[in-house]
Amino acid sequence: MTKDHIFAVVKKYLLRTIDGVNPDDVEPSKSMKDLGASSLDLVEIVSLSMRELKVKVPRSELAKLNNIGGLVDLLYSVSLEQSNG
Amino acid sequence: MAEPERQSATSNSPPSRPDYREFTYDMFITSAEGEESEVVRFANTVNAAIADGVYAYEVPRLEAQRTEVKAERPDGLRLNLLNFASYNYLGYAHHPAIIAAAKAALDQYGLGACSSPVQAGTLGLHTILEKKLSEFLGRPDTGVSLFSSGYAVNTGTISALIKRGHFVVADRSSHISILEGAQLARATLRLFEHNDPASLDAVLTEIGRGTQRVLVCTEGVFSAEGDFGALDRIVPVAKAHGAQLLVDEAHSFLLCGPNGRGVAEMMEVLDQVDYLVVTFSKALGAVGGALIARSDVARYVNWYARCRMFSAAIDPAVTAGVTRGLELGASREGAAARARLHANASLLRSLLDGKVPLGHSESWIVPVIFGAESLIVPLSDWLQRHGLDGSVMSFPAVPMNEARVRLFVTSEHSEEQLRRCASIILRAAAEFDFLLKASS
Repeated sequence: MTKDHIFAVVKKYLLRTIDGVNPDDVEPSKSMKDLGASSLDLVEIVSLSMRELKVKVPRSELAKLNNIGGLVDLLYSVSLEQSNG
Repeated sequence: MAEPERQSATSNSPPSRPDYREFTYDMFITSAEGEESEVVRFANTVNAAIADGVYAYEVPRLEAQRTEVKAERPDGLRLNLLNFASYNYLGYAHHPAIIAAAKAALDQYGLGACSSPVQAGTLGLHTILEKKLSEFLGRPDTGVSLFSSGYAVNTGTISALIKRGHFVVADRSSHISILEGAQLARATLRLFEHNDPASLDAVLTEIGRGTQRVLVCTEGVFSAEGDFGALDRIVPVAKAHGAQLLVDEAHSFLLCGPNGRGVAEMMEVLDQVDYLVVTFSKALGAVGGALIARSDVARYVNWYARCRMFSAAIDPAVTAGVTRGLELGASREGAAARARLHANASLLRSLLDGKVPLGHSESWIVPVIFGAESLIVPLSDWLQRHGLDGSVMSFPAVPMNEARVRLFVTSEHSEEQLRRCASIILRAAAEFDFLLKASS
């Protein structure tokens, strides 16, 4: 699983969940809040992404994230741990 | 009351079963594939907390929501609680005159309305309440649509008036009933930053003026923050863009403004509010709510708010009690209660200010922001065992790592009770390490 693939999955659910987002505006440096996500949107996007990627991230780790890139990195590192474990 | 030994809130030992110390609401909203369902995981977590005697939610009260209230947990633990957890702001849930009015209605009309208000459920009492409400608001020609819950006023009104392709533009801190109303309407939902007119202006500018309907939603008092809606700055922006405006005064109706009409009156914009939402479950101590709008709009909402059309009307006792509460709220007694409420809130804030994080509270809701979601269960339990009940709130209802206990001040709290509340909170802050550094 590559980071590009993970980013594509997160972006897909982000665009499905938040109204009115321009796909070109979805960049790793942006936060979901910047793109108009509510707290519930955030829960939904992360949960749907985890489900599709079959990656489970500890709740405490999610609290530390600042932007979409951080989420992608976290999902990537956990997926590596899971595949090695 | 002897304090039973409680589990350490900071132990690092691995849990042998669901760790309720890490409980957060969002953990159980969805379920990742291949694991136990969210229903089973949630039940296991709650059961573990109950087994350890620390589950402080859903604890049955044994009497009216007075400032001190007896409660009993399912394991038999009796609690005498200083009650800062109920929004019985003026004590109207147990006011003798209101109870008397409710009893009389019960005798005359029976227990329930037993039908949808559009069909056979509208009682004479309902039309009296509608008239009293419009008179109280100084808008005698306006329309009123009564709902059996405040939540339903927002979901019902928004989904009736706003359609697919229209826009709902809501403050980021809006109540979930506003956001769900937008979802139900299948409208496009856009958020603006909390109380920020420049952010609202940017969103409305981006939407532009077209044939679509745009509804801006905000509130009188934000229940998680305890601050006032910046209506004096938000309303002009909405109007300049030709948007319609909904203001939810759930936690402010009957509680401020020269005549008790709420924050829109206090900020002198009441006449510009298209859809005013009030609830009966806060200052009026009952249940239900109402939309106050142009009379043709209210008539339409009566029919096209599906949660109203397909639900029974408010029951007679509550309707009569709320009507009597409105009369009291409009009287000198109501004005005196509001003054006590404001003084009590100021006193509690002054006792806590600079010692624990209070956010931007300026109303009768005083949130103490303790931050870490891992404290929710142990702190709730600790507070109850030390004689205080507050309303704990966490993500996603508030931002992550900004979990809080909300203290609802009422006009009925005594100075001694306010000081005792502050004292317990400060002891909790020392115990759970959320004292502000300068004061620790």
